[in-house]
Amino acid sequence: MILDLITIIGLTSCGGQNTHGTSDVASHVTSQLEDSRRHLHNSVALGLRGKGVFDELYTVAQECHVSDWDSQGAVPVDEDTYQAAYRFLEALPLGVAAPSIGAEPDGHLTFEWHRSPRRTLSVSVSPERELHYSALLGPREAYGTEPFFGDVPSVILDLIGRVVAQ
Amino acid sequence: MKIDPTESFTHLPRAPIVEAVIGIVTRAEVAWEEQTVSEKLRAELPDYPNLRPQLEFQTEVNFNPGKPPEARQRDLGWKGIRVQSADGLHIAQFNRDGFLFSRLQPYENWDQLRDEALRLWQIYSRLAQPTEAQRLGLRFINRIVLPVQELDFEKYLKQHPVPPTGLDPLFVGFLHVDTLAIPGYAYTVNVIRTMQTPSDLQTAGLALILDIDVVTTQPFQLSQNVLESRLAEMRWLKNKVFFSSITEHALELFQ
Repeated sequence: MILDLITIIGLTSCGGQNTHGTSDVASHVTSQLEDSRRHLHNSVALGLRGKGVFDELYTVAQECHVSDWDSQGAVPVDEDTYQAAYRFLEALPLGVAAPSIGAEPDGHLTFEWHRSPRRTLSVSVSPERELHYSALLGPREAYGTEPFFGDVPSVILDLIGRVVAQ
Repeated sequence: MKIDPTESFTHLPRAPIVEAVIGIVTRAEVAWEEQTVSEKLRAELPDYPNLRPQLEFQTEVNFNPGKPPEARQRDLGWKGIRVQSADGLHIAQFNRDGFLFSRLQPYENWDQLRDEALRLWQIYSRLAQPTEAQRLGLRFINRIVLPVQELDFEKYLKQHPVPPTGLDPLFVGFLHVDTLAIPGYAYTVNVIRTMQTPSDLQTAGLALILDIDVVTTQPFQLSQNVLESRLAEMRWLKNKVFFSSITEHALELFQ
C-alpha cells in the first residue's frame, strides 16, 4: 500500500498539463513552467531527453517512415504518429524509467517498459492520438485504449509504476 | 480527509484572482464544422459578440544528435470558436476537443462563475453532444501586487522562497511547483508559486503569483449533476489550498 502510494505520487508529479488560461498571467506561468520542465528534462538523471529517449524516438520514426520498412508490407510511421508519441514522452513525469521504443507494422510507435517476461507494459501510439496499452503483471493482464489529450492517463501511469517497482 | 462542499469560506471582496478557469476535455461526437458552430453560437450567445476562430498550430522542436535544435510549426487547421463577452470579462472556447471558460478580473463570486460557465457548457453540450469527460480542471490564478520596493514575500505567502544561508541575494525570480494527490479522491492539485518582476522596480511593485489548479483525469459520464458536484468538490479543495497558503496580513488586504 505504501509502495503503491509512493508510486502514484511519484508518477503524478510534474507530468501533467495545466488547465489552459487566457490571461497574460496564465501565459507567464506557462512559460515559466515550460522553461523549468525543459531544463529538468535535459538532465540525464531525471529527464528522458537527457537519457537520449527523444533521440531514439526520432531515429525509429525516421527509419520507419517509408512504406514496407520491414520488407513485409508495413505501414509507414507518419508525422501525426511521431507528434503524438513525442507529446506522450514529454508528458511523462520526471524520473520515470526510460522505455524502449519501436514501431509496429500498422505504423504505430510503441513504448515498452520491460522488467521480466511476466512484468511488462507496452503502449502503442496511433496517429489518432489513441494509446493502446497491454500489460502483464504476474498472473494478471491489463489492456485497453485511452485517448491522449496531453496528460498521460492515470491507468497507464499506474501500470508503469507497477511494472518498474522494485 | 473528507471533502465538504457545504463548508463556507470568507468572501474576499478584493480577492487577488486575475483569472478563474473551468476546463473540460472531451470530444465532439457529431460533425464539428466552422460555419454551423459559428452560426449557432451567434444565435445563442448575443451577449458574446466577439467571435474568433481557433486555429491549431503545433510547434515541434527536433533535437538531433550533433545538430542544433530545429523548430518548425505545423498548421493543424480549424478546431473551434473563441467567444468573448461584450464587457471583455468572460471568454469561452468551444473546441472539437473540449470546452474552456475563463472569468477575468474583477472576480465576483463562485455562484456567478459556476452559473455562467454551466450556461455556456450547456450550449457546447447541445452542439458537440459529448458523452464522456476525459479531464476536468478548475484553476484560479491569484496575483498579489506588493508595494513598490517591498520584497518581503513572507508577509504574503506562508510558503515562500528563502535565500541560502549566509548570502543576502535579491530574488529576481522563483518557481515553486507542488503536485498533490488527494487521498480517497481522483483529484490532483497543482500549486504554483512564482513572481513577476516589473520593468522598473522604482515605480511598480513586483507581483507574487499563486496559481491553484484542481484537476481530475479520471473519465466520467457527462451529466449536469455530476459536473456540478465535481466542481463543488474541486472548489472546496481550491479554497483549502488558497486559505492555507496566504498569511493573515494578506487576508486583511483582500477584505
